[in-house]
Amino acid sequence: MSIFIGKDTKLVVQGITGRDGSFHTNQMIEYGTQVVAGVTPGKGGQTFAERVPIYNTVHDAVQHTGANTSVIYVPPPFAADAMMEAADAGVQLIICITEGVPVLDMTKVYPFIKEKGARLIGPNCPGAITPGESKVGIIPGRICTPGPVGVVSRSGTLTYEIVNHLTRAGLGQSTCVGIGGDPINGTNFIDCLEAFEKDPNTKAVCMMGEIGGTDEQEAAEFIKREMKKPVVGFIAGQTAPPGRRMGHAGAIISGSAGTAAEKIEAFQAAGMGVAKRPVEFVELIQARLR
Amino acid sequence: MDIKGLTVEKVLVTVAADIGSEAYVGIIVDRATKKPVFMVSAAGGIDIEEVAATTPEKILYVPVDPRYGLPTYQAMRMGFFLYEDVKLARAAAKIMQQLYAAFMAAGCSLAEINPLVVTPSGELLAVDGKMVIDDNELDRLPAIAALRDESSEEPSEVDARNANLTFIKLDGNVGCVVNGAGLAMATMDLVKYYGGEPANFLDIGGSSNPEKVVNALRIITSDPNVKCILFNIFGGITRTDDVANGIVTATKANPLKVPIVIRLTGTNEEIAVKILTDNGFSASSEMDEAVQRAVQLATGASN
Repeated sequence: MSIFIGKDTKLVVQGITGRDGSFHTNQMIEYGTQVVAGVTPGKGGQTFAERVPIYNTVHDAVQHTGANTSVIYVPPPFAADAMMEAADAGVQLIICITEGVPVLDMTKVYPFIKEKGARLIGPNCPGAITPGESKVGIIPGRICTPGPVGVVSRSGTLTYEIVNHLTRAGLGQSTCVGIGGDPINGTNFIDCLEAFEKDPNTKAVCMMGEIGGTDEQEAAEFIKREMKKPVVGFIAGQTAPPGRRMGHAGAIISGSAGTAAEKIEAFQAAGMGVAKRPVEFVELIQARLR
Repeated sequence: MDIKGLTVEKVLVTVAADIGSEAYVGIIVDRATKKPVFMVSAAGGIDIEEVAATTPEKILYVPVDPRYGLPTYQAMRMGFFLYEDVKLARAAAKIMQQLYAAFMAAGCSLAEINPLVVTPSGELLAVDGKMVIDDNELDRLPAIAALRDESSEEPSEVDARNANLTFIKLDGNVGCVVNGAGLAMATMDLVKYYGGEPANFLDIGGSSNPEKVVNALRIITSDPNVKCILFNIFGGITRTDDVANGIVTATKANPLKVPIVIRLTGTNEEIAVKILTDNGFSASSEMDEAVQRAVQLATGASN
């Protein structure tokens, strides 16, 4: 068991012939992900890596292959359309890796996808991996190993840093999800926490937040109210100056809101373990799994 | 003329307005509702965050579904929230619909009129305004991108943006080069944890282009406050051997005057370590160890 992706994931890659799309499709195939189709308009009928059929539209891909999950590597100006196309074609889970999607595009895409009943992860995210079963996105497979720890994060490489510590300490992962660093994203911390709480294979959760917004504070309230499984949290950006966008479009302290201090306080108030450094996740999770 | 340290380059001259009352009208992209949200208040002319903190009941929030635009009934509701007089309410509603159109057309994350003024003769005037444009919109809005005034920005930040690096200058002395925004923030935090101060936020991004490393080193070493350079690279898409090659190339062209601490792990780590040791550098694979070392070197250098 796992959350969102697993053995039953049948993946269509949107933008499969692009630079990033082709590179990561090979990595996903190598990891064992069932990549059943690719989409690049105008290249329908061709084959990727001598095994994955390419279609002109997501509708065609779903009709012919029964793909149930999509991953998007198209450039930012086309990403909003790609997300809507996938949802309209009946894909249930859409993972958008693309960084740089205008936030006003997302204000239109988000309600569209909700109405279609699909789940969106991202944009501007590293995707998800269920170690040993399926990887959708760009998280390096070799740093992960199967086990009882759920991981959810707004960041990419910081997640790798922490997952690497967990794996070396023998703490495998049920599923790792990167929800992305943009102000409007399809899946938030609470969506993932709720899924981890229900997943019988997950025994504890690592949650990596950032400055900006109130998602972490709301997640802390959810944890206090709804969760029995232990959650350990971390907030990046304790030294970030207010008013500046720290790389991620969502990582900005507005006025006095969205600071690391208020988020850490919310974690503590919810009775969560708080890692002050990435490496501290190991001890805090070990103590909670005993 | 200077105002708060910023030089005034251009001045807009307009007829002075007699102010009867002042209101606030703004639109932001709201993370919680995931929609553009209007904020209107009769308590205008001052900082709206102040109003929100002290008298939140004086602000009306109206989320807009961007697929349908701002319908007249929503605009009129806000107009009547500000003014009892129907003529003023209608005039305000019209201004709000125009502001909304401008907000969408210019790819804004914020657009506000503050103050919206009623003159003693009963005329409605937008006296001052502000727009913040989403950086992600600039590629498709070249006319707006051309308005950027680089003279009012930190020169090193302009240099970095032109080199496709995300860089923010800070006041400390440990220069940081990291891949990924989250790890970059966590690295700054760890510098602080071990008693140091970061000199900057710098994300070289996901692609592994040695050129980016060369540019990053140039920008960081141009800051005289920097007493030690810290690389923290977790190779996923980024190939650590590319980063190592970038370090070697850059330092051959411009020998470093300050010590450098390199932490790299992940994709092609063994090749990277060999490149570095062959060229007289040492590398660590542990983040904590590297950050502690960099802080020691920076602190020792400033004594």
